[in-house]
Amino acid sequence: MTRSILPWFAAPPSWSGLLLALALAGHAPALPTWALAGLILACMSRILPPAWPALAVAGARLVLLVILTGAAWFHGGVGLAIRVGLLAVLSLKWAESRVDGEHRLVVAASLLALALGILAWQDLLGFIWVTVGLVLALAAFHARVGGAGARLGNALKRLALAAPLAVVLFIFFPRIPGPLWDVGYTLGLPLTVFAEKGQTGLGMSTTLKPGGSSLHGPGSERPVLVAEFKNYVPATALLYWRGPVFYDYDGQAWHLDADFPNRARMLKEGWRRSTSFKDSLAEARQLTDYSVRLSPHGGLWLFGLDVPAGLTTESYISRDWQVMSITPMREESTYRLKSWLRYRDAQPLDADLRRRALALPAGNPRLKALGAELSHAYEEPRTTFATALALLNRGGYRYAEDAPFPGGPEGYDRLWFEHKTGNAEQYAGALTVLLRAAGIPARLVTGFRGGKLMALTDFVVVKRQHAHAWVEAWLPGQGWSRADPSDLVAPERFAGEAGKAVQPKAAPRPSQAPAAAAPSEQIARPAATAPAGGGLKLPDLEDWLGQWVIHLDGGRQARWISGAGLKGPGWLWLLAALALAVAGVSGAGWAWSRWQERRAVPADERAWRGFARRLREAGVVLDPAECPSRLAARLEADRPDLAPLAVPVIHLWTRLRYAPAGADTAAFRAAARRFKPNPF
Amino acid sequence: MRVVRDPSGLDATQRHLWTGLYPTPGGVFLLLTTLLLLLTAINYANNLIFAMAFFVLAAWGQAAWEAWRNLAGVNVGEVRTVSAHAGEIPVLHVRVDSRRAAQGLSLSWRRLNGPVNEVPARGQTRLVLPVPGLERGEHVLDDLRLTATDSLGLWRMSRSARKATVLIYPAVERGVALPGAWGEPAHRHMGGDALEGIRPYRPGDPLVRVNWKVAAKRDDLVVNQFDGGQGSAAVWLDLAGEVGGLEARLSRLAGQVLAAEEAGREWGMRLGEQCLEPDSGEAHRHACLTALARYRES
Amino acid sequence: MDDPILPKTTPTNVVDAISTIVLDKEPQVRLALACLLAGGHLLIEDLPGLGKTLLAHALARTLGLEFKRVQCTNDLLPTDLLGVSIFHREENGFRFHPGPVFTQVLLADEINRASPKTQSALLEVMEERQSTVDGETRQLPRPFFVIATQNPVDQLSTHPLPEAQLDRFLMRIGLGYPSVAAELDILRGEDRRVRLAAMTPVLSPKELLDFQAVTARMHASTALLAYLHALVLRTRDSDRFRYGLSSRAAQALLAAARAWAVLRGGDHVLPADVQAVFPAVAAHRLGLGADTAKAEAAAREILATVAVA
Repeated sequence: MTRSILPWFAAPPSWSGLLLALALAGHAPALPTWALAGLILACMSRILPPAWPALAVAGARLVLLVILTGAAWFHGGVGLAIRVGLLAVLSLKWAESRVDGEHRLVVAASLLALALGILAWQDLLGFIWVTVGLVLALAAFHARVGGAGARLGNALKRLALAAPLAVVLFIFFPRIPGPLWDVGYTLGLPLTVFAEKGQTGLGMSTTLKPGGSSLHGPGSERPVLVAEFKNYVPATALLYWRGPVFYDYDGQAWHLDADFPNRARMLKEGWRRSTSFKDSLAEARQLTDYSVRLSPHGGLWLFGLDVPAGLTTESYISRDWQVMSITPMREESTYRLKSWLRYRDAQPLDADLRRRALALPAGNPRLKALGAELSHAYEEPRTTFATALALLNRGGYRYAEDAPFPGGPEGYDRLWFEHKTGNAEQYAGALTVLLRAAGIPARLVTGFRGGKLMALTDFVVVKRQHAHAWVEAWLPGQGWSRADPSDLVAPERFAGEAGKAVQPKAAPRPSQAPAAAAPSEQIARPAATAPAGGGLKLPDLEDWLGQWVIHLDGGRQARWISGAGLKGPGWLWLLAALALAVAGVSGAGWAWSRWQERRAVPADERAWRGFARRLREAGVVLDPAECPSRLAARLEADRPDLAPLAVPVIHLWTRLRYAPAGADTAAFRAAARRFKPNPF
Repeated sequence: MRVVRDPSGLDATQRHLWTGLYPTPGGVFLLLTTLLLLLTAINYANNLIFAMAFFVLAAWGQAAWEAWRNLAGVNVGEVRTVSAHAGEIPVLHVRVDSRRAAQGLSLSWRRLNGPVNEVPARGQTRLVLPVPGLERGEHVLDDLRLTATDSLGLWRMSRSARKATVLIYPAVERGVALPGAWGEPAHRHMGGDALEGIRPYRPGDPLVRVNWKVAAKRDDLVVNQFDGGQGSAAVWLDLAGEVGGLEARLSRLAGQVLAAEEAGREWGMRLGEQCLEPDSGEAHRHACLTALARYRES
Repeated sequence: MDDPILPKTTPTNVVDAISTIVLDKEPQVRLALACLLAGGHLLIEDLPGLGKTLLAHALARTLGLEFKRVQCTNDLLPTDLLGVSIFHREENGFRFHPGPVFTQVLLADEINRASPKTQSALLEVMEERQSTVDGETRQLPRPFFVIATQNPVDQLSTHPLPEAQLDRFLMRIGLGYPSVAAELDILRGEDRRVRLAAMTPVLSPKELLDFQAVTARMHASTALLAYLHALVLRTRDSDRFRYGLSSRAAQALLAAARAWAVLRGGDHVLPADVQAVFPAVAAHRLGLGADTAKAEAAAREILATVAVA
């Protein structure tokens, strides 16, 4: 570590300064102009005359720091204040750094600042920022004498040599999706914090007003429950956590049973034992065993997965298949449940419920008309049902979480026919209305779907943002069957995890909907939104980055592992693969350097060493301090068996090495190679 | 060129010497940064930051290997005993040679690091280490290390070099007067034999000393001149005869040793019970100064 | 050996010839001859009566060189060696009477008995190969080869050569006691001085000079020089020696190795040649004292620790 003043670009300050500038530039779009100017001023304080008293300089810097942080606080709150404050501290530290050690500290901190700055830019620009930042950082860490060229050259060389290991780490490092406190939930961090009463949203509330809930905004990150699965974790897209089920729509909002919660009636209509519930199913497969840690929401729902197969204490299965608690959930509690993920209902629909499941309030005439048209076009309700779903699938609908609901008595009409943009709850409502108009009993189910799989663990964290709504239609012979409009409108939304496995079930194949018998223009018009199959696209960098760098996540890793046919905890397999790959890369590096080193030895000498090795193997004790000519004499005296072959080699070698130029290297190498005392 | 005694390529005496590989403070910074980057990457599930963290981590690990490799092929020669007067800075030096090119080599002792050097493949170089701040006495630096860093300065690999002995003589007091000569010169008893030369005969010279051989060839008489004659009576330097603190007295004696040598005199020295017979020459001076360096008051 | 100027008689004949006089001492004879071929001077350090003088004499005889001998004593003056200008009345001027150094082979017996002044006069002549007396410089004959002997035991009233001056001698060798067979042969045989007188030269001085020229041109490859350099460095790095070998010593080592290669009949220097002459060339330059055997053992240890390149 040199303290001497080197030419500008060979000096550490300029490199740490460049890196700092890059980091600041990364933050620049998010900073007000005056804050940026202040940070630049902080950096400029480096050129204060050295004659100034140290105390005055330090004071001036402190004042600048306080002003910048304070102004940021007033301007943009705590977040901005922290950001500007930290950047200011870093800039001021750089300004006062004089020795190499300080610059190294600045470089390390600047790397962090750079990382935080590019958090939002998941694109090519971010990639460039990271690359340049790495080169600058390594150039700043240069510990040898040398100018800018030497620094850059060494940095690039280090990066190139580090690349294989870095790639291996990148691929195999188990991805635990953040934020880190989600990991905390799986470890038992309390879920109580955000559960205020009355602030229940979609999936929990007892009324559902179309367009009245948002999955974004404050609270969307709040956990609702943490489930730990035994044995295996199903694809999260298959997880439907069942909450309130709505039959009654009054044209404005969906309502639960009028006497909810009437425990006596609900107990009577439901099942106290899971075994008796199972009898009502025609088919039940894929048993899942899991325990749930539920945040206190004040309601009765225990959010069992569809459909319950095992109950916990103080619980029962309602008529609408929810797992219900006897008492409202006012404290965080943990319980164990079982569910069938594949099932077929075999229950008859009683008249009263059928009436409620077909009831339609006034309004939405166009949907009613379409429903009527569908019911006329197809005799079989199943076909009607499939056609309705196909309309949603191919009608050019778009999914938008925050889409405004048109509202009014024709709200669902306008969503279906005009806006064609909505969210899960809106489409579910519209589909329910359409199915009812087509004479198919339908109910609107709310709850949660999916959840965040804590990669490589058996935990799934379900948050408010996973709130979901779907439809169940009663079909003769099939009972209540689920239809999820979200999968039809935006298949990619849950496609991250085994989405393909879901789709065929929910969305009927086009062949099921006979296009020839299309009852209306809308039905007949095939939507062109199906993914285009053909057309080779040149892979551009941005695509490549997106596919291989930016979107490599725990799910993809999990798929590799299952693709490789490996069972058991994924993170273990990944760590094993990581260790193996790191060992492989290191071993390859080591072998490569050995090879390089060997290559650096002249061919003749290599041949001589090989010859000496074979001599040793033949039992000749070699002394490196012995002149080859002596060795030859010794061989002739002691090893007449080897001498005829070995001695000429030695003579050729000594001539090559010590005689005037013109010795025959080829002859020597050939002779040395020919010497094989132990052919067997 | 390397010194070979065993197949590992290291001198037999160096094989089992302790070696160590540590991150430098800069390396620790960078590792902490990497961990923070990783936490950031995990928290925000950001793959670009993952990539950044892993590149830094890989470069960090690779640097350790580089530091190790820089030192692995290096052989250390012996460190020669060096000596200096108190107040001067003795410089240790050791020759190292290497099978392969190695950079960032330096000699170090405790917290002192010598200048960084490099050695070409199958070449050699000399590493030096100035050791300031040693007091008078004999210092055995047995935790001398040969260290190597990687090119990023993240790791330091070190290996025990052989031990070195540093003799610090007392500081030299300049301009001291030699004590009066007394006693026998060292070579008085050999005076009859040690012919120094001839000079012209002066009245009063003993006839025994006339060189008759030469006189036969010349017209004038010459006499043989022997050493131990006038003016070369030995000077005795005595610690007990000086006043002042121990270090001051030792400094004075050191000054007197140099002065006596400069004056071409023979000198003897008494240090408490220790006594060095009168003599002159480099070896004698070294012996006297060494005795002064090692002197302890009992 | 396809050198055009190379004489037909090889120096090996010389070794054989001397070995008939100096029995059982072939290595020493070879070293002495190599020393002569390399143009250096030889210091023989051993007890009296082991044939030092005989060796020197035999060497001179077989090579047909002019031989003179000086017995050093403490009153030997430089002029006794170099010569003096003496006034001659008849010529009314000074005439130079050359001393014994004006010869081709000079045996300086018991050089440690001479006074330092005389010693340094001799050493100067050895180095310069010319002598300056009374302001006039006179060239010594060629070849000029000094064999000095030193008795390591009898140190009383002697002036051992200063260690720094030992560098002037290319080699220092000890003779050692002869083997039983050789000693019996000596006892049984006729007086070797008589045989010596009867010896005829094997080599002419012209041939000897040619051999010296061949020696100077003997090929030493880069690899060999690297090995030689490693040996030298090894002596410098070690704390066991007071002095490491100087650059001059390295040159001397190379010259001696070349001479050894000539004696071997090779056309290039081998590491074995360097190894053969290394103890004789290096031992007295390392500051290990007068014990030849001990110093040579230390030098051999160096040989054992440096790998042949």
